[in-house]
Amino acid sequence: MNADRRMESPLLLPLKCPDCGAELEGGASASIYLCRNCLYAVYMKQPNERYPLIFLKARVKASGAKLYVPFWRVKGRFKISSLDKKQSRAYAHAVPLGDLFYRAFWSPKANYFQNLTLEYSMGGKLLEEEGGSEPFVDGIRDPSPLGEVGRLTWLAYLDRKSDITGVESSFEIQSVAYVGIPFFREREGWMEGISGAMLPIGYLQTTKSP
Amino acid sequence: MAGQGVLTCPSCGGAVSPPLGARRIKCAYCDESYFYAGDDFLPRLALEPKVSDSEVKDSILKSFRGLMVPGDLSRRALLLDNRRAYIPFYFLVGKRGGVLKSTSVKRNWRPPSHIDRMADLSGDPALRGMTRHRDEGEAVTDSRVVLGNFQFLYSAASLDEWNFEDMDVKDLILERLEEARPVLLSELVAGGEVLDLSKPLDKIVELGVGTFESKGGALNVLELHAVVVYLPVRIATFRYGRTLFKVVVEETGGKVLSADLPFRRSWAFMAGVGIIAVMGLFTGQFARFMAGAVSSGGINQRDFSGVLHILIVLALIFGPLGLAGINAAWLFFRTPFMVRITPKGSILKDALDTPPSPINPIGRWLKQAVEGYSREQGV
Repeated sequence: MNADRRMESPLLLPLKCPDCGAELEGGASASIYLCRNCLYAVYMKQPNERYPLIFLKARVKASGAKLYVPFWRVKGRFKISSLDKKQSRAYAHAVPLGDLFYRAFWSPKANYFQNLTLEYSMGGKLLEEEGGSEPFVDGIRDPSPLGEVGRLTWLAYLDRKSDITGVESSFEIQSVAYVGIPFFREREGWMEGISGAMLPIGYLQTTKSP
Repeated sequence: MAGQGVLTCPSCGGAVSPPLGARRIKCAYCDESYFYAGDDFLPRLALEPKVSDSEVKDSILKSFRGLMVPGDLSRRALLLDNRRAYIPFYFLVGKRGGVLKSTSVKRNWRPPSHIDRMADLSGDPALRGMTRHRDEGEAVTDSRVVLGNFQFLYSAASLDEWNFEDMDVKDLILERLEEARPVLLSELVAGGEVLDLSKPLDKIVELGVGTFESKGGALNVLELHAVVVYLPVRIATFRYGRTLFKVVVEETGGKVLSADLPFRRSWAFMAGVGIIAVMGLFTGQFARFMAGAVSSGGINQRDFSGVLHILIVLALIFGPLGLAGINAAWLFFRTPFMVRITPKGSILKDALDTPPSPINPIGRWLKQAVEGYSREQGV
């Protein structure tokens, strides 16, 4: 083989946990890989950044096959300031959003999962954690824009209380975790394990390893 | 395509095959797993063929029935080749967000005064003109937070020779997208011919996805994710007489996407005969009228030169028309027409150039003669 044609290999990142030596878990199209032993997830394009791996406990009873669907859970501090007293009063009376959950997987029906962000944020305190061993849907989404997405989510929420013209806002991320929400295969679709909502089968794409 | 060169295993130094359909690859020598971090990788989804062979056959036979195609096409068309191909499309999804400001004028309503009421009751326009000054508006700025998903579908291979456009199959693909399954290129190749991604993704992104800007602000692209979606199609090649033609049927619903079918020649023959018959009728009637006028002695020597002029003018009108008619008939006879079926409908197309008409030299001569005569007459 011609050595000159060989490429440098930073393009190939080992899928092995540097701490425990276990093979990182992820499917053919995944960009986010997991170490179940050390309980962290890593977005492979920023391999030095680790995110805690959390499994949420189902709140509904289901008998079908279980899998975890990955979301980025963002805890952060949103700040808003306005010179208008009416605006400030309206924002002060708004029920604050809890942790923000953003879809970390690919779906042809992205809008459906955007609606879950607010649902989980409003009922975030009720979400319990557990230890999980079931498979994960491949995660692909870059966590980099989560700060700006979080700020806009808050602004959109507060805009319903009072128009946000002229306000100054910021969203400071305190922590990001990779969270598996339980889904169950029921009849011809998927049952979401927190609210019990049913989804058509194609809303989640599961993949095989090569 | 991902991995233009040869990759080296960081563990054992062995050559690693470039990734084709998955970011996760394995070294064949030391069995170590790696993540391919190159930006040129694209996840692939494929729509599954849903229609059976008999349903594809029914769709094709249905397209063979029609007034424009030969009546015996379904009976005489000989199937030469029947294969599956996967046509790639870029499906771009992402998130776009920002704050947009808009300004509107708010009309301030004030309760009617006594004078307003008097003006209303009296109906006096002068009084009304004095009182109705309610257009004290103020500019109000409103902000709207936009945080939404977008999705676009573009063909990733040139569809020029397929006779349909990405718009023709866009709805079809988007409707069935939730049935698409992640695939490895190796699996796909085993099922049929896979078309290359001949259109560069960066060009498509540059043209199709961007920041939306307006006076009130901008919606920035916060995230963009590209996926290749493959549409399975069946390409059936037939022979009818000496004509080869192909029919392309998409295999998720059995719709005919394109077909170049033979044209029913009897229509061309009948149209040509019809044109010649009409032109012959006109010319015959005109000759009969002239012959009748001359033989009846209705035209004397003095009038004859005037009649001759009329005759020349009429011949100049009817001559080119007659030739044009014969030329049209020739075109119908000799043009190798075909019936092109697309998702938008059927159209008549010429498959090859029409052979030059023997009337053309006469037509050219006539045209020159008319132009010369017109110049002499100063027209």
